[in-house]
Amino acid sequence: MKQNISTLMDGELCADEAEVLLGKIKLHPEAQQEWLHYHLIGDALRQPDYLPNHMNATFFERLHAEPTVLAPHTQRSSKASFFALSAAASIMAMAFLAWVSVQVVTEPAVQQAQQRPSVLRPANFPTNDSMNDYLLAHQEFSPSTDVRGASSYIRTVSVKQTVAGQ
Amino acid sequence: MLKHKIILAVWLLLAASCALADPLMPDDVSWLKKMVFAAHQTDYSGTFIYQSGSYVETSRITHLRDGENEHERLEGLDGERSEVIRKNDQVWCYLGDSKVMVAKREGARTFPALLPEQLALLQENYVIRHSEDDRVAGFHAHSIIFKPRDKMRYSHKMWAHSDTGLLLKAVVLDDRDHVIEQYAFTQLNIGGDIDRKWIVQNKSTDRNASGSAVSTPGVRTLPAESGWMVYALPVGFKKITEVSRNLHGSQQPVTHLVYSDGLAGISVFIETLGEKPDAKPGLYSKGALQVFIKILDANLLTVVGEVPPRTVMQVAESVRYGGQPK
Repeated sequence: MKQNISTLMDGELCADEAEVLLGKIKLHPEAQQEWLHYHLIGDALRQPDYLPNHMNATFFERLHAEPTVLAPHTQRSSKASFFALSAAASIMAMAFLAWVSVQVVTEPAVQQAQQRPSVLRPANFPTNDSMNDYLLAHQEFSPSTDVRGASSYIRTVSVKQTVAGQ
Repeated sequence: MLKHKIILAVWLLLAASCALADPLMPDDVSWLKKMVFAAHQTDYSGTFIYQSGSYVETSRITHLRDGENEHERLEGLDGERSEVIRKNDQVWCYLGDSKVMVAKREGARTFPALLPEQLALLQENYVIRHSEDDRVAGFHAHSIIFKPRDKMRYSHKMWAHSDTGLLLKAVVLDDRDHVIEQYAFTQLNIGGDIDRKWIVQNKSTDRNASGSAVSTPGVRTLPAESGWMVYALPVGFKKITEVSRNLHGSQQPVTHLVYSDGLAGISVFIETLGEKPDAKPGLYSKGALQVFIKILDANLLTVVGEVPPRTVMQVAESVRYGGQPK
């Protein structure tokens, strides 16, 4: 479920699946909570200065309420690695969310572009001289030219080939 | 409040250190250095195929090191004549009816080496690891995978000649591991007797005598601070340079901002719209290369990069003028 929610926020769930998932979210309060949490984390990462006022207070209340465990446990090593793993997982989740929040703005447009593959076909590449000027100018600075040498100019040169083929 | 900020800072630091958890093995670093060195220092001549989608073409490439000078020639073997000749930082481009474009690779290093900053940037954005050894064009090859840490860049796999480090094959993949473009040598001679007749002897641009120059010969580029900025620069990209240049043989200067993530580059061109009948806004794609054209007020914006469509679009949508009001 959690995975699906983040996929949905990522805009990568297909329409049918999204509908099913949204239905589930409506029915399950814990899923709604999950949904809100993801968005809150995203908001917090994007604009930490505008967190809801009560959030910090609640956070510290709950942190204080957490019991401090001093007793030694028998399965220390496995527990420790479990916590390390879950911490790593949540950090990754936050990093992912940070990325998601950046994505939200551009995603619909990108999908639109992906759904119209004809727009992306090289044949539709504008093949005028001014486009070549941009490509050549870009190539001058591109780090890919460092390793690939002149072969990175293939993209520039082959633009012309496309014209010839038309 | 300070306490909260500190906690947030610790979190971010933790997240950052986690992202950089796997350091580059010394072996991988030396391979990268070897590849960059080989690309500039090796004499070779060979034929390679380039493929993107259903499009395939064959080209011949020759590279020679002649004391201080580096010469390179790329010839298309299909369709009309197309040829690129480079001498150090000068590039001549011949397309079909002998049109010549001259570009100057500003900032091209005469003795190339992977700078520490570039390595750090690479590592920040890609997980770099060695893959299984292979054979390409009859040569034993060492392969390296650059797996991006997010979806703002493509995945790259490169095969380098085990002895010299010369790049033999390269594949660019998207986030679903679909091949976007690839190129690979089918035949290659390293060292030995290589045809030198095409070498450009002097730096003059008289080779364009038979055709009209599309760009002003010796494109003028000047370091600049235009005030144009990319506000939502995708994570991991750093500004490399900014120049003011002439394009299309026009005297109207074009602002050129350059960004890099260590492997992929993004160029942002900004010019006054004026009369540009062929400027059609939208997204254009050629293999791994994406171009997004946008009209912003009275300006024409062109973003070019070897990055996914979403990345050029995010850049284009966040370009603003942040300098003094004009």
